[in-house]
Amino acid sequence: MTASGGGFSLKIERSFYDLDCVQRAAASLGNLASFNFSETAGTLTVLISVRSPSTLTGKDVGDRLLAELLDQRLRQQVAAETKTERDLVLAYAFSNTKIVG
Amino acid sequence: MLPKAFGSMETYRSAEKAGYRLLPLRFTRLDDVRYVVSNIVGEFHVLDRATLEALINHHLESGSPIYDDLKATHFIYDDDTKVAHRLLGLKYRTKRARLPHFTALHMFVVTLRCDYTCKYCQVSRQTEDKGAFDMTAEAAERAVELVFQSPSPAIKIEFQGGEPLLNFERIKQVVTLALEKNKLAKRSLEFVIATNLSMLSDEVIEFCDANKIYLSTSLDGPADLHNANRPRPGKNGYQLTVDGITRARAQLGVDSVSALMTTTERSLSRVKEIIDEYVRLRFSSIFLRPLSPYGFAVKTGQAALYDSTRWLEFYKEGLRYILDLNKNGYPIEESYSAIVLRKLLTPQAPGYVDLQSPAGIGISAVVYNYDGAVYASDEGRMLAEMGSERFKLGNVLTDTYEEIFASEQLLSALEESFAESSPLCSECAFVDYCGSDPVYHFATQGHVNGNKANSGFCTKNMGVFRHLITLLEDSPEDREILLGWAWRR
Amino acid sequence: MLQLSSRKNTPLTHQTFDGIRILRVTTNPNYPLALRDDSCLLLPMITQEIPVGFGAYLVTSADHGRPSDSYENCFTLDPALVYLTDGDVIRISNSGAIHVVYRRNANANSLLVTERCNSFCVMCSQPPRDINDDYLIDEYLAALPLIDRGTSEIGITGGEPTLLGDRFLELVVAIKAHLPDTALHILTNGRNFKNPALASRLAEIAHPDLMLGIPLYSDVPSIHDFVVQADGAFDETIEGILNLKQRRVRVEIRVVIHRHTYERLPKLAHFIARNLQFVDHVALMGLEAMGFGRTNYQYLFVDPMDYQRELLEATLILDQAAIRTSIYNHQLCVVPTIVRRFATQSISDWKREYIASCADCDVRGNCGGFFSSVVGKQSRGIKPIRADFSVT
Repeated sequence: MTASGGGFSLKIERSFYDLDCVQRAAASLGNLASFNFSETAGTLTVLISVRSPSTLTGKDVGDRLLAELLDQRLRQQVAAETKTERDLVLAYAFSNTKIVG
Repeated sequence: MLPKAFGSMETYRSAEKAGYRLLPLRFTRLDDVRYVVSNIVGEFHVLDRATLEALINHHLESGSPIYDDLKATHFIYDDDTKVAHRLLGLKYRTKRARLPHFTALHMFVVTLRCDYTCKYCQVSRQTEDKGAFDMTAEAAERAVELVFQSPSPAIKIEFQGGEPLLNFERIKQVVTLALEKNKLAKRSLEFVIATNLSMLSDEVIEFCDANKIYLSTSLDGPADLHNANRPRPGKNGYQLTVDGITRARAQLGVDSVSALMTTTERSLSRVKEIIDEYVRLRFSSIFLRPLSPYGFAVKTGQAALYDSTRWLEFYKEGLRYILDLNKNGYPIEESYSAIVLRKLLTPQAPGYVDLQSPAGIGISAVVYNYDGAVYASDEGRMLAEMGSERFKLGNVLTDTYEEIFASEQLLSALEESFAESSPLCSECAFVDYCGSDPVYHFATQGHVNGNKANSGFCTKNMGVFRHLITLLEDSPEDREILLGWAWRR
Repeated sequence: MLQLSSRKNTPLTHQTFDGIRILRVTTNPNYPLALRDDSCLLLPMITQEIPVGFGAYLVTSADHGRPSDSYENCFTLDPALVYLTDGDVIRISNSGAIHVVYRRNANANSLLVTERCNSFCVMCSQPPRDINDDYLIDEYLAALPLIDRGTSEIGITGGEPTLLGDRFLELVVAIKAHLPDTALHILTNGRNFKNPALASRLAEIAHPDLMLGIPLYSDVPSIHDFVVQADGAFDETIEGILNLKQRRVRVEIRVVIHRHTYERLPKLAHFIARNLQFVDHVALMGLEAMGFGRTNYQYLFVDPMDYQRELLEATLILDQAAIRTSIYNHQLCVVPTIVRRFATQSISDWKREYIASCADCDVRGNCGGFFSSVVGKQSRGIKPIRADFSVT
């Protein structure tokens, strides 16, 4: 990470985390900071501007973003694996059953 | 050891050896070291990061207690069993079983007139002699017709205002008409008057007694706090309220009056005194409510002074005090917690409008205003007073049931604010305990869905969920009390 | 323990029937003539004149006279069966083998319709035998018209009754027809009700007071399958319960508490509360030392004093979820005080006993006592409860 004139930036390898993953991670921290993305040759640069007032530094938010990225990737894994399960559960849910009510 | 004729436990676990598959699950941080992991129907476990990763990466071992627990509670399944999906489907359906019942709570704003001058009140304060702010007989009649077009087997009609007793004639008309219609409709019918109790005449009491009408009043805390929050010419609001409660109980029964508090800036540092007031008056529950950002509150800058984080401190202190009261022998319940606990721990969904997805606006509760206008919620009506008719669905005098309840106005708000498909909510482990509040988000952010990272509704609710789950996990004594609140029928 | 069968009934005269007869017992020599052929008269003595027309005669006294050869179907009665009385129904073979099908004064009557089973529970009190016992249903169908209409409750048990397919349903129909005021309790592992058609056919009979008692031993499928020794049994039982409840048939879940079921008992209660909250009753049951329960007793038995917490928690979880719950087959002194109100007198009278120290107990009248089969192996916690709370 580097500091640059009021914001901190973070470089993320696109081979590690796809854009969707990064955006979701950033979205969850939207109350803490704003995020600006740019990309060069497979590397994503995230510019973090901490919202004021705040006791957090750009690096603090960057750390949280990294932690959140790990979580997001796990979520992606779960979502991919459980799509058909979810459809099946909902199919049962909306079939005609008379147990309830 | 069992005789050879019996197969071993290992034999019956052999189907588990081929590994397990994940069932739909969500996870969210509980604190610095733990996560809440919930399944598609909101059953949850608290796991540390390592276990969470092991779970998702298929490293949990067959026969280990955590494996068995996660399998029995439908987070994973394997070749050994095929009923998980059917059971989950059933549970999913049970949680939403109330939806087809549609609108159960029907609020009648019978007048805007009021004898109080509360700063935070979202209702405009018209003085006593302005008859133009009373609901007409015709509007009332049309509204009652609409009420009974709702398919709900249980109907609650709640009278609001201003001070509804200032238009007692209208209340009598609605109650009488509804009871008449109910002879054929045969719903479970309940009436409530939300009143400040200053106008509780003998006639009113007799009418309530004869028709089993409940009273709901506001009690913000001890006298000085209550009167400061709720100024009244005469400055005696607190005394009138307490006298009203006493009289009502004496003649209508101890359960006939319930009380709600409203939190203001003044209240934030006095939560124990407020609770003590409720205990002193022998109430069995207290609802620690947040301040909403509507009506006069915004105009007078109240809402600006107040945010979800500070409210959470107020709530936690209050809840701690309430739990300790329970341990010391006074069984008082905190109502918001009880609703959340019911969602956390039981298969049922409580019918609490503000914690529903799809949102409870219109489809669970609806407001018929004094002028016949129909609003999707009380807050939607307040928003109209502030200039936005986003949540006005129509008018009882001119529109049909279908035009009102199947309006694009309502349906679009419901669809766009649906939590399970909203950003951030869709992956939140707490989504089944939460709801969507399109009116709040429209009022504070300009869109029915809002950005939950900046949402006071989200901050508040996540704070409550984390707090309650932590208590359930870490504090066995509190857990016992909280379980009692969840299941209490 | 009451004996329900005996072969020690000696024929005194010749028999006019082959095979077996189903007969209603009476002590009344003036029993209406039209009913006598289906009845069996209990006599203390054989005299020169015994009333004619009865299907059989059972002579209870050892010192009986010598009946003349013109009397038919006379037998001595084994003293073990001397409790027989008016209204009881017996099966008697022409060699004098008697089985008591129904006892009017019993607190519970069960019709064992087959010894075959598709499970093999490690504690089964009626171990399965793969034999052709189709004749049993025929006998019960013959017995039903003779059973007192005032009977409050009757049971169907086995083995696994649903293995009899259509005949099982035929019996239910017959019970409804002949005993319309009698509650019917069927013990079944529920697995065949995974087939919705069977559940529908049972529901369509519309018995006015029917309850199916179905065991569920764990929230974990493999553990349940192990206890019942059948792969896939958990799934089938759950599907069966769901199919039955969909059709509004009343279902009771039964849990026998032993080595493999006590530890997760609260979690099973939680599972029922979250997944099966619509069941009509849950019975948490003590281990009976009959059949495999006896063979495996040393291995399976857990002293109730060692699962007090689990029993307490499980009961309270279910009760809190508004599920009707009972504790069966536990003596009051070994049930945690807070949940004593859930304990019932569940042991059938013919196998219920008390022990010596129970004489001093003030609540013995409310206590279900012991299975005869466990006397001598009971909990270390057995001691009289004194009404004045003194400890003995």
